[in-house]
Amino acid sequence: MAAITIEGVSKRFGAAMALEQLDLNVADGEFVALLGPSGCGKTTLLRIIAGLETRSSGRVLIGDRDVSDLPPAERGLAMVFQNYAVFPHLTVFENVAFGLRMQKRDEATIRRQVNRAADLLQIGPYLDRYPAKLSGGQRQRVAVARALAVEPAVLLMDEPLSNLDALLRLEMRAELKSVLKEAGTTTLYVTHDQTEAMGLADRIAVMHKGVIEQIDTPTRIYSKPSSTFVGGFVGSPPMNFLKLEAKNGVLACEGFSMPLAHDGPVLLGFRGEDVRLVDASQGLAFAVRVVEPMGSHLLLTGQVGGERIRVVAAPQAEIASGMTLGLQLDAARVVVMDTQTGKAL
Amino acid sequence: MPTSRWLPYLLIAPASVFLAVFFAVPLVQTIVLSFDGGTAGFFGNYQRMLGDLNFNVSLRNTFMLVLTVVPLQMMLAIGMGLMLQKMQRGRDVVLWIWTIPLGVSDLAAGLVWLAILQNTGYLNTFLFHLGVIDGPTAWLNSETPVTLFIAVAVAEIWRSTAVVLVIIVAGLQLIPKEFGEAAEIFGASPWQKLTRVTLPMLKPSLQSALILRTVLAFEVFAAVYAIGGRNIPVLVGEAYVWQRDNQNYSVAAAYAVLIMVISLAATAVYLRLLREKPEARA
Amino acid sequence: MAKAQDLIFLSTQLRPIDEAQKVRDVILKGAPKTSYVVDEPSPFTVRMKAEVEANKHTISLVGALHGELQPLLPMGALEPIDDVAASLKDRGIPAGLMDLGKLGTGKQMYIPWMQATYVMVVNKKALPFLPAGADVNALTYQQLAEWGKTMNEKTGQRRLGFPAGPKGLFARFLQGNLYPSYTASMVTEFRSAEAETMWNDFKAVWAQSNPNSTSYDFMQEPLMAGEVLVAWDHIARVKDALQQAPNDYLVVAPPAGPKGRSYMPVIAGLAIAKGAPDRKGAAELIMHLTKPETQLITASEVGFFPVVNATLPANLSPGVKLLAEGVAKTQTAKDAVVALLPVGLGDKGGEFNKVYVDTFQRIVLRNEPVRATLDAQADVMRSIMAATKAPCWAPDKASEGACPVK
Repeated sequence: MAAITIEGVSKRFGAAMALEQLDLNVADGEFVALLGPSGCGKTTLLRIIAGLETRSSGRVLIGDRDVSDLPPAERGLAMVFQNYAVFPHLTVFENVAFGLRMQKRDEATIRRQVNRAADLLQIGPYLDRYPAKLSGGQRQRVAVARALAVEPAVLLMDEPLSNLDALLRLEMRAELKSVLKEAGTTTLYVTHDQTEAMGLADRIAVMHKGVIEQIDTPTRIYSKPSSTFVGGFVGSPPMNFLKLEAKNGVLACEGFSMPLAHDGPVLLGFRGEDVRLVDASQGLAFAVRVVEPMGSHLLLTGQVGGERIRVVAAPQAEIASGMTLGLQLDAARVVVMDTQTGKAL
Repeated sequence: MPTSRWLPYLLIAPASVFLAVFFAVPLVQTIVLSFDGGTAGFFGNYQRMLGDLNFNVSLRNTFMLVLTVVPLQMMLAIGMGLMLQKMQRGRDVVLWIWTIPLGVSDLAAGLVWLAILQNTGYLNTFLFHLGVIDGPTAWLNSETPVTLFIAVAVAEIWRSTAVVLVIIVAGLQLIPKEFGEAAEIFGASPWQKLTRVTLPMLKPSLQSALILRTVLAFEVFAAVYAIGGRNIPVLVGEAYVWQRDNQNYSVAAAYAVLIMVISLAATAVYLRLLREKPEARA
Repeated sequence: MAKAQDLIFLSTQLRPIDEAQKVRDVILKGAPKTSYVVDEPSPFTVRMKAEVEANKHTISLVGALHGELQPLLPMGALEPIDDVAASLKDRGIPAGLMDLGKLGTGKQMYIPWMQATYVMVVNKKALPFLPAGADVNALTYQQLAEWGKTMNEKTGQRRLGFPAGPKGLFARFLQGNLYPSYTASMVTEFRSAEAETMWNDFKAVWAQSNPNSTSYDFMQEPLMAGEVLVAWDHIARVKDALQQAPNDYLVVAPPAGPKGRSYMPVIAGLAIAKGAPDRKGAAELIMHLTKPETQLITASEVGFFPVVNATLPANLSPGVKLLAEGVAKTQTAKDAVVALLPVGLGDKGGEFNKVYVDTFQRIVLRNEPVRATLDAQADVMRSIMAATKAPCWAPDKASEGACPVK
């Protein structure tokens, strides 16, 4: 087991910067998810750590070793690919044993470690089969077992669940979490799916345009986003933002006020489930346009002033489109952002 | 609609008729002709073929050429294909240049190499200027069988490796790069990556290329004829001589049938040796 | 392009573009309107066969070598032309040549068109190396071998040359020059003691021949390249070298053996295709081509010599003149022996040639024992003669039934 340290890593593709002076620390045994929209550089970062991609500058350390210039095999890591890359011409056993064979381990060790990884991933019964006979989920398990069988210091996973259907993805997610917890491997996990990141990771690094916007626990990423991007990207529905004017150390609107050491226009961010719906006479006037019953809750889309707001209401609430309600905000559950930079104040 | 049921058959009819008329019929005629031994009996033509002074030589030369040329060009094509894959820029240009020989006919290729290797050819001129030889040196006559064989093999490799290359390049492109990366991450050396991952996954392409090239290599003729005349007899060349010079179409047919049988046998061997494990098939 | 109404004259001779053009522009001038079409011997045979089998005739007149016309007889592609022969009586075509045109049948199957033979071409650079006492116009095979040896020693290369390549006429050398010079026979004495001596002598000649000989088709090329100084070939196949540098060469008769200086006249003939669309036109064309004037034009334009009684003009081009002298020396040598083209072999002509070439390959190239090889090849020869029932032709003595192999 080992920590991962990224120091000032940049990657340039021609004139385009894919990664800009990036720093990241993943503690020993920690599970960090790299979350971001496609093109944000998260896969590039993962591949630089793996040694599959060259960096333009910076260093990569695994444990205390500078692995920046080592070939992938000597970095002491394993990887699970988006398309699994399970070798079709080898049996499941040989797939799982692949890394061990390359390390020239003795037959008994190979057998023991393959069986342990197979048990962990519950693919014991399929060891003699060829991958073509397996389902997508089973192949996924083989890919993970292959990675864990070498007992890597670091496990890198590149969108490992994105090729599975929704139900299977949910199932595998829970399973991965318990398997990796048990293995205790330091894991860096690339995904564009925020629920995966939220569900699995100890910490989430949200990436945007080649930089890490915020790295924090899932809860804080969700409730205290450091920028409008993070607030908008994480959470469904995304965070709402209202443009307000702060005056004399106070940020206030209808039915809400909080102290703020900043004068001028700001963005007030709040989650759709963090408001209280009250009578139209109190709080902010919220004109409901669309009501979507989602089962566990109602999703209301409407307007406050000229701005679109999404709010969550209890499933049994009797709300119809066209109604006007009042919104009451909780000062403890809001974030305030700079209108220019989009960063939290 | 009643016509729709017949439409597929109607559409494949021209191709089927074409094949039947221009392939199956001549094939049957050739086989019949090869057994039409006149007074010498059913196997008369085959006896004449086997008894001919050039038969053993041409059989040996043909097999030696196949066994030299095909493995070498498979290796070359794999090497070239892998190099192409590694290239970042100019890939298409290089591939294009490498496949130029595809557009050159066998005979033209043979003549090109003849121009290089004959007594007063480019090679001798070059060696003369280097001072390695002090006059025209013969490489291609019956008294220099080794250099003649090498010349023919080189010409054949030059001419027909591009076909293999195209098949291999297409096959390599079908292998997602993650397989190679996975192998690298799990500690495979470049050689292990090639032998444990790339080549096994390339097997269907290798099989097609091998069958295609071997069958064609057993039919080697024009390049050999251009470079070596009859100094290096091969099976197809003998068939040609029996037909054209000796005007005995029946013995020529016997040669043709023999070549066909050898080609079919080689194909069967490849299909068997390179058979994908049935359970591995998707 | 051949127009439908034109008479089609298909020829295997005078194929190169410039020669074909001379046929169209000069030789056929004043003849009935004709499309002159050329084809190589092999496709020529196939085409004739196809026309017979399809019973759809486009070709009226055929011009080809004796040996190429022969296989057309058994496939029924030739029309008897005794009437044409009768009207040509006054042209002075030697009776022997006319007889060849009967192809072993009782009827005239073709009319001799033009003739040539095989000669030796000597680059004058080779003359200083002639063995003492040898006359370049009356060489023996031993002298040829000795000459070659001296040239090899003095120039560092084997300078004799034979057209033993895939398209070369080497078989004719063995049949027409070598065998009769030693055995006075082509077939009957195939495995005689004299033949044994002959092969041993010829091995010595071959040892001084350029190793590329097994690739040579037309000797004019190695002659012009200077690779070979003394070469044997058909006159039409050395013509370019002679015309290019007539002062560099001599044309002499081929060497002699114990039984004389044998040579083989080559005859190209004109035949009318069976079912010819224009038989009358074809007959008129034969009359035109065998006119002495036309024959002389043919000689000076393309180097094939007259079959009729005609004196060559003095103003021949130097190259053709060299050839004409060479042919004359060959035919008039005091020890000259005539070996005729095979007659009556039908479509076995190719296999007949193969017997000689195979024998050469085994004895000379593969160094197999002479006696055993001759015995084995004689069996093959015997079976060809038995299959064709061809009676002997000169220089073998006439036979009743198939020509025997002793």
